[in-house]
Amino acid sequence: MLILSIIALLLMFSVQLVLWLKGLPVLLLNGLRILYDIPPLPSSSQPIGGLGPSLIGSLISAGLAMLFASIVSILLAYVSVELQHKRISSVLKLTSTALYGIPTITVSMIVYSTICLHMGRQSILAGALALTIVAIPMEFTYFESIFSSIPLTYKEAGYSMGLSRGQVLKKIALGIGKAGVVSSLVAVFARIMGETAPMLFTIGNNFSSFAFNLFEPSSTVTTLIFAYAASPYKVQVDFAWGASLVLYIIYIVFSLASKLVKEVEL
Amino acid sequence: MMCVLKAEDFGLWINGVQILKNVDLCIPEHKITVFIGPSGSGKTSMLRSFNRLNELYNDIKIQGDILFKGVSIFDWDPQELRSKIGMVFQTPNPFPHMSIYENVAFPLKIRGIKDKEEVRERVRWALEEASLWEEVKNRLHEYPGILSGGQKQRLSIARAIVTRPEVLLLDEPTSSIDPANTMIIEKSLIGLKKETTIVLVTHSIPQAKRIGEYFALIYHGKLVTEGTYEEVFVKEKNPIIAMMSES
Amino acid sequence: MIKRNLSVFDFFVLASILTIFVFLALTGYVLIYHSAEAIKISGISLFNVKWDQYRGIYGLAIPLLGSLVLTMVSLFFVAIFSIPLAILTNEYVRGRFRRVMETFADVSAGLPTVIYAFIGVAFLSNYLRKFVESPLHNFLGFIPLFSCTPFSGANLFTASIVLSIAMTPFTILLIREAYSMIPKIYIDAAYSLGLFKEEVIFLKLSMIKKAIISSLLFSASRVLTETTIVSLVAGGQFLVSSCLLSPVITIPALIVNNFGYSNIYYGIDEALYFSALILFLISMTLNILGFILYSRWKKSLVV
Repeated sequence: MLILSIIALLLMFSVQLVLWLKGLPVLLLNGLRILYDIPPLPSSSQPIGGLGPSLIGSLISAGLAMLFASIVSILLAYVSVELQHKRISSVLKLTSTALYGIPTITVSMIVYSTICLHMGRQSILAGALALTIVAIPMEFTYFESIFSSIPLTYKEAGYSMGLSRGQVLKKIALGIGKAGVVSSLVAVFARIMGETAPMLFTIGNNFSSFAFNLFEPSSTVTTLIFAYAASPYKVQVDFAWGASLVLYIIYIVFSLASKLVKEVEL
Repeated sequence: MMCVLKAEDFGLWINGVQILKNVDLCIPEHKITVFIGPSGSGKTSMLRSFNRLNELYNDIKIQGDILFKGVSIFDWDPQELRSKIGMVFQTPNPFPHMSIYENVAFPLKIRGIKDKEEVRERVRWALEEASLWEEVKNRLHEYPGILSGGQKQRLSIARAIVTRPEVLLLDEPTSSIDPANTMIIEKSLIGLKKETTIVLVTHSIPQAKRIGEYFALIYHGKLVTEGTYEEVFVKEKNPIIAMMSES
Repeated sequence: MIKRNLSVFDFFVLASILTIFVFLALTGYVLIYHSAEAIKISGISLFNVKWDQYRGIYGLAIPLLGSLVLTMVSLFFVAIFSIPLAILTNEYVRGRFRRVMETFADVSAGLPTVIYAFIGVAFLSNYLRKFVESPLHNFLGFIPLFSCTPFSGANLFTASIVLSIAMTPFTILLIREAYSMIPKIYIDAAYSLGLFKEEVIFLKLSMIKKAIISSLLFSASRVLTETTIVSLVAGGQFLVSSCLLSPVITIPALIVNNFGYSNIYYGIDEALYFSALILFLISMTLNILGFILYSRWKKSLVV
């Protein structure tokens, strides 16, 4: 049994170790330009360039998705907890679970066939929409458990003063649960930045030019890695190591940050 | 005698179970009314019916009516109704994410009272009426976590009265509080009755006798008897009260 | 009798409820509509092993089989990696080191799979081929499992290893959670009966058996729908064999490689929607089974 554990640990560690070993040289070669420059041309001899356009695409699509998903999820999670004695609560939980079970590649297909085909092109908006569908169930689960763990008596105190459901949510529930809410938001943001499948058919393959218009195609760091991984050009594969390390660092930083929250003392 | 709250043939079902039956009750103005009765008799449910708190987390069914200032509470907008009725709960519950000052100022803030001087005056008044001012006046911006249980409950009382509600409901407010704080709180309540009408639920007969002026004995969801001290304790000699006094 | 006026809050809540219902309904509609179209097209079949887009023949049998076999093999590796590791972190490691390991598992669990996929194709596949797969073929080639020559590292074996590396942290998390839910009174009782530590571990494992299986089912659902790793590492060739060292194709990989070409190849998108629906149904079934098992286990914990 010990041998198996060691093999498993070794595999897990070595994967991340190799990432640093092969990715760091690329990062050091480029310095900060990896964040704002465009990727190297296939004909380049060195992987000098940047993730600029893809990083922008990742940030905008994930940011937009978080905006929509958070509003929807906070409201629905709160309603699900406050109206636990009514059927809507279990309907909401079921719907969230169903959404969560949709394979992300299918989400991509759906958004493509509805938005992209009608708009005539792939776009950041479509990518953001796909990420929203992925993010909502994640956030709903987090928020549901946060709101459930707020002692009833504080909410009742709020209602007994004449607060509406919306006011109790805003001033009491979110006030007491703010640490958990922030931590969940950061954690989900990190996860959707790392999603690839939802973006494959929706956001496009534009790695080399910056797109800030929501209706234009762009790319994400994840789709760049995916595309360059299978590239016949060595310089692109080398660059993908750098891109992977950047994505890894972003993900780790956000994940760890989400754990550093100070809870409200009950 | 004006009935600020009046239950008329009031029946209550919570999640299918009948909790209150045919209750006809008058809560007299500016007096301390005490609900007494054994555990589970429905006193708390009756209290929470007044400010329509029961319907928030339960499926309820109503029979009859309750009038607040002559108008059915079910015709009142629930939020407006609750803003005129203050409540203190069995477990002290000052908001943990607000300071002591913010807790008491909060009900004023949500009513849109912005003038800082006025808010400060009223917070001080409320804390004085709740007999807490002297102990916290230098720690107003600290959080309730530093307070003892008794102090937290007095803070909850201050928060409930700062808007000068017409009725103050208290659900066994001292059952988890030490005797010293209980005495302080009882004294505050007696002082408050000139400001508001007080309805208190308690399972302690001695407490009821100490501060009550009007009594309602509730047993198995029914109002068994109501009246003044003479009527309830002296004349009737109800066996239920005898049983409770012994426990 | 109990009246309320509608407020801004209510409006937003209703809008949110509508939003998620629309998302779900849209997904169902698109999938079912296209699948219905797919059934009408004669070239699309679940049981056909030929895939020829030029002639409009879309046999989904191979990708489906590939998905199922890859999931099972990966799950085997996930099980043998995650269970010992979960036991190790819960029983034998203490203090700060344990917290480091737990954080490492927590964070690795959500690591973007495309990173694993890339490392798999750019690094791991070569080393695995050189040091594991070729030796397996050379020495154990008489066993059908290893009878084919691993020309490239992109095959079922590599893919399942990479998948299991990616899924193990998540599974460990689930198992650890189940572990922590064992009521202390049982553990105390076991020790007080004089059991050795290893025996107590066995006891604990048998108590969370159902939870472990449900964790594996959830992981299976994730492996089934995984896209990036299988696209890059599994080989993507349309063949099926009993050999672990041969390339394999799964439904997500099929979709990634072929989606969006309906204007060139008639019916190809319909075939892919159909396969997506199948995938969805299988993964939903796994999730539901996992959930039922988990709920039953949770109930059995209460004395």
